[in-house]
Amino acid sequence: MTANSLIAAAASLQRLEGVAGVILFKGRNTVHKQMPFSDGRALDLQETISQMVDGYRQVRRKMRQLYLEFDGGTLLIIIQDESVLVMLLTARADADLVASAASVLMSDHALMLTQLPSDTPTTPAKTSDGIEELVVTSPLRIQEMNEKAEPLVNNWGQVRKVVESLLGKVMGRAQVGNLIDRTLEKRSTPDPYRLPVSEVRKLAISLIEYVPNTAKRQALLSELEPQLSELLP
Amino acid sequence: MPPDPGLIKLDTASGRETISGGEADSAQRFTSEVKYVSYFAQKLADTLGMRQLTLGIVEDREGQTAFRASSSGWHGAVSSNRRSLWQVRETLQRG
Repeated sequence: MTANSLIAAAASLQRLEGVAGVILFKGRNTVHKQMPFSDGRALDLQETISQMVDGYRQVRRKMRQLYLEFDGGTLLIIIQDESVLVMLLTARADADLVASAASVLMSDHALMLTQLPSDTPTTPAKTSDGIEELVVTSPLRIQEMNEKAEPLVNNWGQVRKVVESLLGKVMGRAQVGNLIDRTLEKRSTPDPYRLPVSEVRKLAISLIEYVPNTAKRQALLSELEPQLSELLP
Repeated sequence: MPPDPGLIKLDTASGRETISGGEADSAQRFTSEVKYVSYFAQKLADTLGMRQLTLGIVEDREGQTAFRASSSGWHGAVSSNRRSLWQVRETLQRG
């Protein structure tokens, strides 16, 4: 797990309804900051919250969370050891849901948070293999990171069922299964669920094309096409 | 559901503070909690461009302290039970 995964997780809190801003920090190290106002104002906010939390720490109080409802919005602050997660909520937020999600995030990344420095890092973070770790906090980059992190999962399961059903009209069930498995092996496709949609379409057509009888093959291909259009838009 | 903890009131009139309700320990804790949080909350409100704190819920490992602004000061409760934020808000609105 890297700091990038922590940043992406913190940023994803903002997808919850009514979460207008998020700051995650540890001491003077701002891990993630995305507030609907200037950086300077966000820094002032962080500074005041930091002083407040430090006060609790000095008297050895193990704080969990602070819920501060103002006339124009709410601050929800989740505290775990030295790490502080601040969320600015609007009236539309379900504060319990947000608090629960934020607590789970802090818990899931507890080890990473413990290892993070409390001071602003002066050199770029490096991973165990010595490669510099890219830590980005701009919304556009976070969006890009999230998109890249999304696993590519296509509709192969449904497509396979359609192909099995069509080929089942001209050959036995076991033969169909073997044919599909052999084809996947031949194409060196370790996980057909991660193929791009265009490749899944090609794969399905290539399986039907194994039918030697031209008339039957054409009939099956014409049956396949509308189903592929529905499953692979 | 556990019974609602006793309501504590911290009233301010002509610069004088009076505390009523709750047990002595709870009342003392309530007062110090409200003062500490409202001091920082005013700074936070200024930063956020808001006017004032209207409700606060402070939770540590030992329990919750909740308070709501009233016309004469603050009212709320100290509880060793952990209740949902929604539940605490509802209780304070009734109190």
